[in-house]
Amino acid sequence: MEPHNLKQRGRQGNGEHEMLMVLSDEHKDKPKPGADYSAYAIPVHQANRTYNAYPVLATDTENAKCDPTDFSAVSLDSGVEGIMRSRDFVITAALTLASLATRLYRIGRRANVSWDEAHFGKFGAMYINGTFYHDVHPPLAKMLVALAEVIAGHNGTFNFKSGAAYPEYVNYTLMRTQVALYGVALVPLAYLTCLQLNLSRSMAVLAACFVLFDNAICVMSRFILLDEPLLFFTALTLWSAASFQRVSKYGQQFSRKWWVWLLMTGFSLGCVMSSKWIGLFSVVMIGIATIDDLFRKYCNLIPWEDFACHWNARVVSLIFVPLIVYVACFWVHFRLLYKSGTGDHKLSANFQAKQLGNRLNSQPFDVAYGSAAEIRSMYDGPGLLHSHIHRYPGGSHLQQITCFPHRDVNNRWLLWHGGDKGTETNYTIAPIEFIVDGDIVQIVHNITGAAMQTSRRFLAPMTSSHFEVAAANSTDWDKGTRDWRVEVVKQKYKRRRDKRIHAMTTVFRLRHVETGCLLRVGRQRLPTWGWGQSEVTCLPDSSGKKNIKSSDVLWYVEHNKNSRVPKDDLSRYVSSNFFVNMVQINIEMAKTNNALSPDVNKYSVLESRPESWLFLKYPMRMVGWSDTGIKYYEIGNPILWWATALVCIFYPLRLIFWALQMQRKCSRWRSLREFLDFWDNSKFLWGGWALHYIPFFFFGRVLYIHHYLPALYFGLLLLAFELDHFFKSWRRGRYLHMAALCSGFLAFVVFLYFSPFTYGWDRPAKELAGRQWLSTWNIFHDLYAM
Amino acid sequence: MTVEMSQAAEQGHRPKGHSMSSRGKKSVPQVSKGDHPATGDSKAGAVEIERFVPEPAYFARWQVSSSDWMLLLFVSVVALVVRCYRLGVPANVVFDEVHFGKFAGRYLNQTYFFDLHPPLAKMMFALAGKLAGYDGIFDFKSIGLDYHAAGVPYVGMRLMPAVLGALTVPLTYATSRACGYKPDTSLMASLLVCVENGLVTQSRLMLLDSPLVFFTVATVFCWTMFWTLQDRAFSAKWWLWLAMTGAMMGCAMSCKWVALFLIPLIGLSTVHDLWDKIADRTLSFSGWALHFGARALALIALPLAVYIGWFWVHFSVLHKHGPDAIALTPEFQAALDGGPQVTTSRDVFYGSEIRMRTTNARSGYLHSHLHPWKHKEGSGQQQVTIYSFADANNLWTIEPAYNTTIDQSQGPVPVRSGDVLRLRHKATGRFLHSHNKRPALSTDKHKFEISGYGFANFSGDSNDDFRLEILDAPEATSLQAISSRFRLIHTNLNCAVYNSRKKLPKWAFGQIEVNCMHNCMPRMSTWHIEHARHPNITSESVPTVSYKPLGLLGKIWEYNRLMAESNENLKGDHPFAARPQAWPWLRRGTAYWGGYGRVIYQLGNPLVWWGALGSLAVFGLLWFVLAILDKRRVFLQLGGQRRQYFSSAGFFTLAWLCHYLPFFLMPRELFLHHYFPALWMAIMVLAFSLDLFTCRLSPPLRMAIYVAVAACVLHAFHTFSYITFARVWTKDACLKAKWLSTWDIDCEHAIGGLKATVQSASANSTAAGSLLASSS
Repeated sequence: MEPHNLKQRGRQGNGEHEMLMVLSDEHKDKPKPGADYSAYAIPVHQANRTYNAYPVLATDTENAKCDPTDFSAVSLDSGVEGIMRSRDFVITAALTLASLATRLYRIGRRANVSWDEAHFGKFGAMYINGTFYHDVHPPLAKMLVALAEVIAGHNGTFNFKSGAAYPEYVNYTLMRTQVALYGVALVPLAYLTCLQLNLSRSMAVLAACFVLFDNAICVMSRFILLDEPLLFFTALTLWSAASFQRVSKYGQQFSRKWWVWLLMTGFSLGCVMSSKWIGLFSVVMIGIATIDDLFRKYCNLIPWEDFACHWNARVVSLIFVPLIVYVACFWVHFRLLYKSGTGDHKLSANFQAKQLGNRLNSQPFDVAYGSAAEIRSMYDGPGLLHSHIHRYPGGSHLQQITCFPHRDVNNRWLLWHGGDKGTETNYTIAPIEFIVDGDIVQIVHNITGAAMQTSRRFLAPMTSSHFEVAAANSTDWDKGTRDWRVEVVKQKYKRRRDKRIHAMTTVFRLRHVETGCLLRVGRQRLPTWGWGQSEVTCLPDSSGKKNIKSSDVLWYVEHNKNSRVPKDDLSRYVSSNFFVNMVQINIEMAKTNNALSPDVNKYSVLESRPESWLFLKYPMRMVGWSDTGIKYYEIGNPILWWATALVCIFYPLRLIFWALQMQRKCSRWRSLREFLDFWDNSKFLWGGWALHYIPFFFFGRVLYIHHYLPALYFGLLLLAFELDHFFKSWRRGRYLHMAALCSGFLAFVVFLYFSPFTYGWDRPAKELAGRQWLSTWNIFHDLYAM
Repeated sequence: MTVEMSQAAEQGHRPKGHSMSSRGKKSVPQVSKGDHPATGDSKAGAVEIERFVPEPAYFARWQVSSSDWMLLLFVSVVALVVRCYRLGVPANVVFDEVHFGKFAGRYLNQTYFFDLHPPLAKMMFALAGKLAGYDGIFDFKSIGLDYHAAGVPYVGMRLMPAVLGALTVPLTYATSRACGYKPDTSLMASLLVCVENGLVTQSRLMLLDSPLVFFTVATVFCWTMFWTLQDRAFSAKWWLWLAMTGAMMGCAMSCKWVALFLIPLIGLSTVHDLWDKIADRTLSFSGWALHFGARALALIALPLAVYIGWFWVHFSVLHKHGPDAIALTPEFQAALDGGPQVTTSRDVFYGSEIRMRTTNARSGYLHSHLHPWKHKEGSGQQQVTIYSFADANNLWTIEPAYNTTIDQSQGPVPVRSGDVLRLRHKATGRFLHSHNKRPALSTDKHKFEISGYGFANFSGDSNDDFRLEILDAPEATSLQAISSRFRLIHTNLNCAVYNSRKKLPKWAFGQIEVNCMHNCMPRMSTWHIEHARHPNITSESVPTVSYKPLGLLGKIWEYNRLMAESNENLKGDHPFAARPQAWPWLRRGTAYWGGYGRVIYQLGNPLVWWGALGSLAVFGLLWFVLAILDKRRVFLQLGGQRRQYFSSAGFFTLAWLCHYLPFFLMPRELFLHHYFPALWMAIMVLAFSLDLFTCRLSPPLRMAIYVAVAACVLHAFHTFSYITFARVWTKDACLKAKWLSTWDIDCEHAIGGLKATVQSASANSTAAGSLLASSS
């Protein structure tokens, strides 16, 4: 991916940026020696007059009210190399130590399963004992939890029942500590990110302190949860993206460093979206930034072949790499969870037949007369052939036959011989006979004893061009109408060359002998009298060939029960495709997610809506609130939250104001380039905040306050960025360090003040009543709870 | 962001001399010829760069010539003829005339009704009816009723939309001229609108769409005129057209809410304009603010005033209470003549009989009756529901809590917030009761059944106790009828009496479920007392209260909220409903009416629809390609037409987007006619695109192309005129007219079709019958 000529070009003058500098500098009227633009750019002496894309924005600087400030006193070395100096390593190490101290202090204090440890601790244990489960979140973060449990020596037997005391053999402290390490890394990452975004050192330290001293981020880093990995990967994405931007702006294109940061961005994107779907917001953020970057390159007239290489590099790193990571996580997920579990039914029957211990995994392979079978439609959705004692309100007024997606005793059908033989045979003693292609069978409902039949006389209730299919006892109907012919369409397992009907692998049609119509499941749902189940009809013979081939007339035996035929291991015969399973499980995750909808009329102590997060209106009790228990309260550092909210709201308003100023050519920015530097560094922070926050307004599902934490991370960094921006220009940066020190100290004091909630409070909550700054905080009493 | 920046920057470097005033004319670019870029893409591109930096949309002044007046007159007459041709056919109630004819009658009777559309267009029908002599007695009950038999002056009423529909045609001509197009293109635009079968169909009937389209077109026309006067800001004409834009926009919004899409259109256009203006350093900041203020006044305040004004007329006319008014809040009903006037004593005491009503939903009163709960997990005790109508079974008596007494020797004791009390159903003597049983419909674990419980000689139990909590009031505030909003909390289960707004099955008479919900938010568990009377207090002097009748703004607010609600809930299954994705290519039409040998089927002129859609695509493609090429300094000029075409077609494409895309977000039932405002915008783009592609051709060739297009369109118009004007045709002709298989025109109505045969047979027999009757 590094063609020779690109390397050349990279070395000789990193195309875009230098051109940008030349264009913006009025005094230079000759191209820089060594850089050859003539092939693709406008000569500089003309650029200012006709094409100038980067003009001076303030037309009359002498009249501008705010005189341009000299930043040189505080500006950083903005070269490619040397951004990290030796003291940075010391600072990073110190911050890491402080972070370790705040996160790990008394981490094992509450010896009970706390908050969502009940879920995620349990899911982690599932990877150890291999039981398949279904959950709304992608697997990576849960597998990291599992890793922590493995290292802590857990054998997968403890199931993390909510509130239960940890038994002796579960080293929960070590588990919490390992997961907390992801949260610990957030603080040094914040520092490194800010350095890349051109903050001064003291303000970068301040940004890290903001993250360090936020109570909510701290308390969420202290349990076995998914939030720590999620936040860590989000921060990693931001750091890589910021670093990549810096390299791509000031360094060589397609250099090794350039590739490392780009691939790193893609990798962390993959990780963040494999942790929780909230990570998709990071993907959108990087996506927009990339499009913006490429568009700017396009406008700067870089040569087409360079442009194409830039595109390729991004497609590979930012689309393929994350996708590979995402898919790989699911691949590992499926490999680890090989045993049947509670999540099996969310996936296809083929998948279930592969899972150890599933009832589809162990059943007779050949279907014999007298078997009790569950018959599934090949048409996706409606499910299994079903009947119940309720009757059709019209038509024949006989017992309904429908399709029902869930496991139920009413799904079981006995397969008998056709004609009189069926009713006369005693299938417990008669010799075993297997059903083969072309056989005529009766299909008898196991519970009610009624047989499936149809007739030309009655039309289906919803699809009136088809016949009605109903079940009737022998007294209700002529015997001849109960016969169906089995027509095999496909044998999925090719190695056994017989014409028998096999469980799971034989696809067949059921043709009614008398009328010649085909059993079909409708796309329509029956009304309330049919319990909203899918309509089953008989497709008349006269309809075209196309209909006969469609999947709604195709069926297979999903479960085959016959005590006289020995059971087989079905996983030998069926094949299940990993990619199909993965797509399906993602669809199911989306469905489960959407099903988590709150009742607007119910007050819930835990839930909160996004508009309340900004100003920390409803902090959350994480555990039971008894007077003697150890209580954790998910409350942020209010000063930091409020300041962040103000800064984030203020930022776009100021941009609009600046845009108006620029439009009127009275901007305080000396050149567009100077503004673009500001914009490039802050766009990730505000954009990240907005993209991780605003979409929640459109979510119908249940939301909790910690859904705001990724956005908060961006917001805290933006807060430091804005302080840096302000104090760099105010009085020529004289108060920069002082401001950083004071803000950091304030954050620290407030953090300490609220730390009882973070490190656990084992006395009555009433004693902390003074810390209730807002009336909506339920520190000791609840406003709405009854 | 950055794109804007560089554009802004580019604009900043436009030479000063090339400013606003000269922009209307084709000025010579001021780039000196010596500046050839060494490696520029083409010489032409280099010379005319300056002309193609993005510039504000701007139209040259339209000097109305006498030939313009002649042509305006001509197209008006033609359009009027097309719209009024066979206006009296059919003499039956067609499609939504069922509603709008009826509403016109209601205005004449001055009886309150509710409709989900604002009032202006309906009032215009009422006025037309009044002028034509309609008395408001015929009630347009069902589609197909005969007007002649009822003596309704329906032609006069239909004349109103026909005239408005005809007027859109000269307005189209004028708009196109104002955008700077020549008379031939403008004539083409008005022809396309004139022979658009869909527009014709809807302007021949009593439907709201014709006034809506007229006012929408008028708004756009006024706005275009306003734009031509950019260089004469604050002149009388400038003010006139600006104000007219606002007024027309207000009228359009008062016809149908679809016109709200004019707001983003005019709004974006204004923002664009002001954004350009702020770059003009010759304009002082206060001058800019003046521009801003003028637009805010004319485009925000004025339309709002017009909207409110029409509602004022609406409520002044409809001042009588009618059966439709039951669905309103009591405050609204109290403001209507002949509405129920509730007057009740203000204070509520132990022993008072009360009627309590849900506060935040118009569901009705707490109710009970002598029928048991019949659901599976229920208690089988007496039903307690919410019932919408006043009834003796809504009366309850307040009694002290179980096992407590109140000393009433000093006179009646008032009920206070925080009191624990019981409610005894007056008619059956049972207590309001809740217990750990599931309600009839709600299955959540935190919801409990409410029942009426008790029998003779039984003093009740503690499950009858409810705590009264007056909202937003301190403890021990005394309870007052009408004004106190309160909740009832069951003391044992800690749950609130809650209106679930679910309709119970037949065995509970379809009334509304009420249950007791734990951790309930106040909104649906808030009640107030509408009627209170203590048996021992008979004095006339007790303080009384009644609902405060709503003022005009209150009425408008509630009416609009109701409109929004019913719009949201409009989820019918009309067989001819169509989702937006089917509109632009005219997948199918709407069947309006069928009679002997003929039908009315609203279908557009397919050539116009498809042409319009194609031209939108062409514009989009051109815009995208040119924008991308500009960034690489490749400037194409489209034969010198670029600015003209982009500012005019660009505006109308934006208009089309504003009038089309929002429909995708609407879950309510939609029809083809919702597309008409957008269609008009697209037709304008079609005419402009025709002009663009023929402008460099020789005049005779251009004329030939125009004539050919006109001929094709007229031919299509003629083909579909049968279903537009309800002309008699044969089944063969009908089948032939089905250009697309998805067009479900009912050919059985045509001569030779099944229904026509049946009808003619029955018509003959009835004719024979009446002949016999008269002869005997």
